[in-house]
Amino acid sequence: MESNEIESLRRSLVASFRKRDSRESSQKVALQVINYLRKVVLQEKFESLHQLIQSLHRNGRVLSAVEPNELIIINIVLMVSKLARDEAQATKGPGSLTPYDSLYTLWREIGSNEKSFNIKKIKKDLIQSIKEIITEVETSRDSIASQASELINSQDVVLVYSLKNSPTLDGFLASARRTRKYRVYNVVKSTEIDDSPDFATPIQHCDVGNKMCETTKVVLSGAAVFPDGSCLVPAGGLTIALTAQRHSVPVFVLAAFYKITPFFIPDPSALNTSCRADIPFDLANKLSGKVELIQPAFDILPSQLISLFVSNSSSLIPAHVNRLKEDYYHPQDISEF
Amino acid sequence: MAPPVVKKSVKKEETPLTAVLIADIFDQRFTPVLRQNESISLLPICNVPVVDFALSWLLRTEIEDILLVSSQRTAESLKDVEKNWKPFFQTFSVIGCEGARSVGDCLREIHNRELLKGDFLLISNPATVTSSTLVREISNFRKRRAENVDNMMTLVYAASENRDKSVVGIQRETGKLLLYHAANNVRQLEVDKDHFYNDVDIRRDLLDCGLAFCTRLVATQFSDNFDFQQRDDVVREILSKEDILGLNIHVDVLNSNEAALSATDYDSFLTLSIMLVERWFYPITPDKAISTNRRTFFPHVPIMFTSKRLRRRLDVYHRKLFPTAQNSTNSTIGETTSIGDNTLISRCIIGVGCKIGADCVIEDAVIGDNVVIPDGVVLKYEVLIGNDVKIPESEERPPLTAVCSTAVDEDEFEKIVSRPSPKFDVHYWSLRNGKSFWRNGARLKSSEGSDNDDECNDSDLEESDAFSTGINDSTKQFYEEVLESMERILSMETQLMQNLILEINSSRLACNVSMDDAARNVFAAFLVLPGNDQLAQLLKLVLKWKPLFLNYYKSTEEQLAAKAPSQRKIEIELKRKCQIQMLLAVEDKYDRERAEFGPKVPKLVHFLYNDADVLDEEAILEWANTIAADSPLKNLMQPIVDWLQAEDDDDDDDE
Repeated sequence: MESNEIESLRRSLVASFRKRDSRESSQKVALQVINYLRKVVLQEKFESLHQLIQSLHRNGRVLSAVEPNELIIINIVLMVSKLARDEAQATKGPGSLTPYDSLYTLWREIGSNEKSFNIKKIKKDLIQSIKEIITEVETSRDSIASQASELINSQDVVLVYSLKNSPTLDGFLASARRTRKYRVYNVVKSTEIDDSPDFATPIQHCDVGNKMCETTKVVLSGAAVFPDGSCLVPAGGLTIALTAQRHSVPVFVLAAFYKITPFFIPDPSALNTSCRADIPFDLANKLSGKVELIQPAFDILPSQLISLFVSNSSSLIPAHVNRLKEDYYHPQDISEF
Repeated sequence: MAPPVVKKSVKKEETPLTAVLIADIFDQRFTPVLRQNESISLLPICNVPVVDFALSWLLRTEIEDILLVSSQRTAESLKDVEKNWKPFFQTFSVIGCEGARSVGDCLREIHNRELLKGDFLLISNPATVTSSTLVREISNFRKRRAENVDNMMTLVYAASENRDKSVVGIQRETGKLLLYHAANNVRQLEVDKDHFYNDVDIRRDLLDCGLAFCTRLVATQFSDNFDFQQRDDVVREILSKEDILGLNIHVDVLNSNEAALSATDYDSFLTLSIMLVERWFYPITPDKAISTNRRTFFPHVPIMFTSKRLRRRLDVYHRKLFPTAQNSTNSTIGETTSIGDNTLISRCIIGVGCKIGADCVIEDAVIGDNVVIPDGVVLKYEVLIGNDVKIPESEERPPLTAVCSTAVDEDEFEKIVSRPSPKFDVHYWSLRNGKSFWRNGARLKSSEGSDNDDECNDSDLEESDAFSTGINDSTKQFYEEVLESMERILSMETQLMQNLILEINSSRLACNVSMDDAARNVFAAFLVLPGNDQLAQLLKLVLKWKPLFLNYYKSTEEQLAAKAPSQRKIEIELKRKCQIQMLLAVEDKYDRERAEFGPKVPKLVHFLYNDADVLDEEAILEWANTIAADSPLKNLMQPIVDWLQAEDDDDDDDE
């Protein structure tokens, strides 16, 4: 059923996931997955829209089984599947309906004629819109950075976290530096103080409380954004956000569109994203099975702590995330996947 | 296979390393939990075959070529592994070695087949996991290689105390290995005074993680020395012959926050399992080691019990599966296994499809697939249960045994004995040497070699009653080897004494036995040969094997003539001593079996003197004098002594 080429493509994709030393930037992961899906669409033969979507979902499931804690894979797969539906809709032209249209249009539904439309055309259009998505992902970092001058004012004191691991955050600050003069506090671990870039003053977690009095803005990088407006940030972000709330400092979360996850995950630990505790192996060897060190990779940030999401298209308040979600995902995909 | 063009471009920078992953532990202790011809590398840890972890971390290193080496018997079962992992590496091949019984055999085989192109990373155990990418270690190894071609090996240690408290001595500046613990006692070092001057760190805080970067010389060492079983043999050889060979071994210690562990027995497998569940090897984690074709879907995680909080965190998925096994900890449970109410499970690895009843207590256990455990069974302390076993409700498990559903194939696994349960359809397996399956003694490395040592010692203890006191180990070993050689020669059509003499001599050299002991034990062994309990048979064989005795107990005229006069006397004296030893061997046997052997002694001695012409008169007389006065043997020998003396007198008279 599946061609060998797809199989080998998938393997090389998985290999590249496995090979990386630490987690690569999410943009790269997103691009890899889109490119893979593009090739799937190109190489496989479909007879109906249903088949195409099934195939996309199947590939998505296999990939997410391999990398269970990479939400972006699912996001991208569902996005592409929504695009396929959109193209089908466009081919059918106005008058054809889906169960998710408004009641009024549903009432006027005459009956679907799925087989009548041309799957080849859908495929062609889909490839075109996948290419558009690729461009969108590629430029997302720049579009987020371009909003920096609107969000950061001169004489601001900005507190950031996990600057080292987030190129988006880095680009955002760099873009603001071009037009604005502001100070940056970079929250780091005690071992990483020397690695902090020149423009930022490194501080430790324990100093966040002190420095929050001076801070005027907190900027965090999000790992996933959920429909209810909450989001995942690197572990340690929650305490910073709570301190910021106490001092009434606005919290911005940078998240490109592909980080918006269509379903809500109440417990981030279900993702099994805990990493290794940063203690010597000797100690680990003695402690294993006796004590428990929880080292989650992410904190979940409830929506009331977030002032603004900075996405590539616009900045939006948490309540509007659900609205934005509808732009990218189709409800039927979410329920079926 | 990759096109050669790619390889060339790599070669320009650095010669690529190959990983030689030995897929077998060569320890029969693992037989109970494995299926027929199943490789140990498929033993699930956290429900993932253990070899997948090794390959997962290899994927993160720069190594592109993998040789997965196993014995021919288990190579078939590794087909799936090959299929899954081949696409991830440039080359990946499973190599089955006919009759391989140790790491040494495997390396000899791949060296003979010239599969090694250059330097390689030797992973002598499939259950080796590390969180390191070995970047620093590889570059160190290459640097040393560039400095000196004789820097042939780099051992990788983790910075952690080890279970066995084994010690090594390392030169502080260069990381050169100078002292390595002995084979039979890992806590012992032989240190010279020099070592204290030369900045040698004696370290006990290092854990051997089974990784060694080797040049091809190491493989050559293995094929040159056929008795080398494992890596440590080469290490010791190189250290002991450092002056002659001029080869060096270095030690690299991983960063203190990099984890590495190599499991060699059930105990360390459990430790490894717990550490993997607790993600100490991050980013090598159970959920990431799952290969592509296994369909476990988001958000499924391997089912694990860890401590209370972690369990709650993982509960999303398996609360509905195990609602009542609440206090269980530190265990991994296979899919489709069911657990009854109020059952307590801790420190366990349980396979798939098991049915565990209610109110059970299971601790420290490794349990195979499809095992049925009825309600209320208590299994504690080093429990080992094979596949498809139905645990009997009312029968106590004998200590130090493994419970299996079938009898052991004793031809293939000669170290294990099994006996069926009288009432139930289960078999209890135990090790022939009476030891526990659970741990391989105080040694970190398990191997054929060390097991053999164990067994020698054990069987010696059993047979010690067959010996008079005061004989040390090497003599016993010599005796056994001689007996074995004799039995073999006896069973052959053409009984070539020349071969037997050759074998006995080599045994004597190998065991380092004195000539006296050799003389005594050769005859003692001869006396217990099958058939020799009949006097007539014995006498016949003495005549038949006369060349053997002449070689050890008598000097021929020609031999004497060939020697210098001063030597001649020593030679005669020596042979006389040997003859006395021979008679002492007879006496030993008499002491053990007085009733049966007693009457035969005079006849045997007389025969040896008269017909076989092996014994000399002086020797017999001297020996007869040493017999204790109250021994009945004295009386038995009296006629011969009298007769000999009479003859002696006659001779004198003649003169």
